[in-house]
Amino acid sequence: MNERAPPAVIRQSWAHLRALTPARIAIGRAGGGLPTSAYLEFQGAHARARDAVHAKLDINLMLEKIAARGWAARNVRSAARSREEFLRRPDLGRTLSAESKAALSEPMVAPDVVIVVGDGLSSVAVECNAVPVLEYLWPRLAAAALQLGPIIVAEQARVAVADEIGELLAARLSVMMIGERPGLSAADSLGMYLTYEPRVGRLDSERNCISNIRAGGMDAHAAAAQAANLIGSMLAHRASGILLTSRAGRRAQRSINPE
Amino acid sequence: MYGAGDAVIGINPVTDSVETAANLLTMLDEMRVRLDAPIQACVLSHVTTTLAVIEKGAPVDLVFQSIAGSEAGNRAFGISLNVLAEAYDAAQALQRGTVGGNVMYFETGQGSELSSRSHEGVDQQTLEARCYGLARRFTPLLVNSVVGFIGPEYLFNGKEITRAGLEDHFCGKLLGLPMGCDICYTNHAEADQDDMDALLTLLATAGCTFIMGVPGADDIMLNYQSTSFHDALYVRRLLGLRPAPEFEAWLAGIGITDQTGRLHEDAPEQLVRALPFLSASGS
Repeated sequence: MNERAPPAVIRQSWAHLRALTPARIAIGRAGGGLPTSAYLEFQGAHARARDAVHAKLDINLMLEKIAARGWAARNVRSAARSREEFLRRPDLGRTLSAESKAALSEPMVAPDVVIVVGDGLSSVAVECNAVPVLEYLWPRLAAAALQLGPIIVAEQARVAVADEIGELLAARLSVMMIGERPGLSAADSLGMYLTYEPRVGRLDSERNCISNIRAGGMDAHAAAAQAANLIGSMLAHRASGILLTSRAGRRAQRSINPE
Repeated sequence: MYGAGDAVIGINPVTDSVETAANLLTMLDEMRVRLDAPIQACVLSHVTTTLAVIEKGAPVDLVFQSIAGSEAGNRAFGISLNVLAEAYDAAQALQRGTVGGNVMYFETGQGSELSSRSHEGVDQQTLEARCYGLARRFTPLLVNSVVGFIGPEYLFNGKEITRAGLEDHFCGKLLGLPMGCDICYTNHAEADQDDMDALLTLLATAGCTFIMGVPGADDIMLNYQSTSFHDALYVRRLLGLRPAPEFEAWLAGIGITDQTGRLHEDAPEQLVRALPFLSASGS
């Protein structure tokens, strides 16, 4: 036997390039297959992402955290009765339950801005990032003398449920803070969708979005600053989304793009 | 490095800008020339971006576009027959093909018309088959069904994704297309990598033209999982499948594979040395 037996796991000479990217490059191989360590890492990441999708948002904890900061809050549910129904029927996640609709139909001072915190596809994202963003955003909006509605915490929520909420409250503008679809590298990414005159039937092209808000992505302070600027611009130009871009020109366009 | 890339080496950029696409294409073309590799590259941009990139004089091998099975669905993608024809003509005019003149790379997937409310009451599989009719008109090099990307509202679990993958392959092949599949799923679907292994094996057995290779099967840009370079090695070995002949000869010539087609233990030094250079020129 002169030949050297090949090692069970073949490591790769370009493995140093992994420092440049979160991508699973240069993970080595055993024959043609994945090394056990890479396989287990993948399985672990997938399990975390699945947990983030299926974990229930702790509504009481969220309401307590909001109350502790002296902000008013209400909680509502979408028409989706379970997580499974929520995943299968996005239309139900965009509509309030009859009970929540009735609750929000009670007379209330019409706010300039209504902030909605929705679980979306990752309650983990909401639990990690929603309050930190609000801690920067709320004082900035209050300082601008804007009438702020109660923070609406929404269960089994899709982005567009904020349109119905905004319509019922006759809000000038809605900010939806919602858990984004988890990936393997980040299961805790929060998205913010801002809509001028939120009304049922708004198109996605009529919103502005700030995404990837998380530790290791866009930090809470930067996200709040960007949202505050956008809110100012939306109220000044009475528009959001594509229409805002055309009214406010390239300056607004730049503030929409996260980078 | 793992012997993948005979169909296309593609980059899906975060932002759809003419500058980014042109820079990336120039980098990929430099790599092709430097390594004397029989490959084609593609930056997965909107067709109108690619048209602008061609006007800028960047090297476009393949024009990418997602297509739908209804006119309204295609409008939602921001395209029309005329725009596709214009892009087809522009890419043909570059005359970059050496083996053939197939310059289009289309992506499809059941449910996109339902998602953009342009389904006209027609079921998602029929609409998917209509995509292939549209694709055929432009003699594409690649037609790729991104089967599980759409999410559980349309294909709920591994079983539904598997069925749709096989349906798409069947319909595409029936229309004479070079049909491949991005065997994939999202984290909110009831599916996992075992389902992908099974669908990969089924599709390869059925004669699927190509599959995707993504590092470690994890698409970190679009947050979903696909198949890896390792998966491609598995299925090649299982079924005795081989890369395109000129690519296979290049793999052996540059020292990625040995004479039997197996990977050498490490990639050739020439390739590893080229990597930092490429990342530097791309930035």
